[in-house]
Amino acid sequence: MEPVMIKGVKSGIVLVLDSGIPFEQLKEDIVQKFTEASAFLGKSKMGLMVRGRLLTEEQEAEVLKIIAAHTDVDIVCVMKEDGSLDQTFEKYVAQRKKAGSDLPVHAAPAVSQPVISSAGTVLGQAAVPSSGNALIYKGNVRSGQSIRSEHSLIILGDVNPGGNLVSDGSIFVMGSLLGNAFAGATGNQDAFIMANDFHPLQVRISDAIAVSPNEEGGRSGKFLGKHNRNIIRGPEVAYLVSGQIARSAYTDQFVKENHFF
Amino acid sequence: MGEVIVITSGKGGVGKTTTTANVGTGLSMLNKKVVLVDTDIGLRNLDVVLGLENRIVYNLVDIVEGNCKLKQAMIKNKDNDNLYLIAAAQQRDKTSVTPEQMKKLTQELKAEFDYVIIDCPAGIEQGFKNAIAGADRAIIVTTPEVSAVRDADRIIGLLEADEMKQTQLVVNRLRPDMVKRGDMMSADDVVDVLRVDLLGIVPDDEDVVVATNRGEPLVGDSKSLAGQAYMNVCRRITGEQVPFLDLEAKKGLFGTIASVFKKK
Repeated sequence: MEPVMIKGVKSGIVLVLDSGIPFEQLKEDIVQKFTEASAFLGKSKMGLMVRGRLLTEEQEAEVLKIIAAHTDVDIVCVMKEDGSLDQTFEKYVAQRKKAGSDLPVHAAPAVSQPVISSAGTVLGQAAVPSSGNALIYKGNVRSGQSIRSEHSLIILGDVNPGGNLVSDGSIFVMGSLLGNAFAGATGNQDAFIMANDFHPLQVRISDAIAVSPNEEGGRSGKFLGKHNRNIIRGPEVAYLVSGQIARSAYTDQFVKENHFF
Repeated sequence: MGEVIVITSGKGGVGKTTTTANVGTGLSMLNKKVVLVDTDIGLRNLDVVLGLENRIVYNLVDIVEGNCKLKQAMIKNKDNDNLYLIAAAQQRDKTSVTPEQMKKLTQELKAEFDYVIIDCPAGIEQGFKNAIAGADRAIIVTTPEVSAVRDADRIIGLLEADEMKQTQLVVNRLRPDMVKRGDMMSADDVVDVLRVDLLGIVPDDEDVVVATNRGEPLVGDSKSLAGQAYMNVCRRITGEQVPFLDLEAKKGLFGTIASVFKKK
């Protein structure tokens, strides 16, 4: 595991720092990482989220200084996660014990996505929303069309802008999701939404709602939101993290850490 | 037995009527027997675009209500014996015709013509339902604008629900210079969203306005890119494989000269 990792999402940078190494040592790595990523990140206004360790005011200021010096990115806000990685782990383990599961705790979830593991709060229970059943729809869901399912929903096609998906379980789009998707419609907090090409207008999971940012980036992207060159390519997932909708690349790590299946 | 083709778009002002007039005229130039039916009752204008307004005696509503014989309402085109028009009524509205009546009418026309082309009104209400009722295939006209594409998407959804056998797309009023600058969707971008077969790309062309005002469709006009594009659409409708026009070709004086020489 690298001590410093940078992940880009559409409107921000997630900086993952190892909590076991002194900050002064980390700084060199941070400088190096941002220098490498400078071209990649481009010149835009972004938010910064620090994960993995808690930074003091001074350390945070230093990180911002490094970013300003080595990239063209303009950091407009800094978000902090409550609690360190350790606390997240503790919570995770405690809940595991409570659930009475005697399965060995899964190998320490990678530092890159600590929050996701906190979503594993219902580990002992059947965590897959309506996994036994799914509605499979073949074809494109076009503007004005709506598909509602009490089970999870699998779309073999595109969901165009103006198309609507509503599912009590999770939603999987094996194509482009450019319309609206509402997973966990009856309140399932563990429902998630996955798409091969993830550019929805609006995403809702349980009570949370997220609206696509008004993208001003790629020129062709402004037409349909489809070709916008955001940093994550390929399949992405949206899921709930403490009541907020988060999105990330859909990787085997996501599957491993979530115990959905 | 001919084919019934409906030309539709959802959004208004994208060029349905212009496309109908040009495709109809073009197909008749390819020696097909064609009848155009204007279903935009109350807002007819296909007759104007074809320059036939002064010849209208009976119209679509007269046919379905039995006020005249089918033959009497078919207006023969000015200089093409293969092309006929059935005009829409001006004094009535869309509820004057039912989808069943349209099905019956198109069945009769199909027996006699190679192509029955239906000009659909904007919107998704009664007029749209009438227009698609008897159609075997649909041509969706859209401009490379988000609003037009969104409506086209909705229309395609409705056609799919209606089990339309074939749906094809014409991207109208494309401006290659704007696409090149990244200020306009390309035809590929549009197809990417709509996922239907592309039948033609028609560039934005001042000549179309001139031709419309004059009442003479410009299809086949070798001096106009749009005219050539429409002719290619017609040839593709008949099943011919025609490569897409290079819309960039006619840029600048030198390009124009070069293309003149190439044609010779």
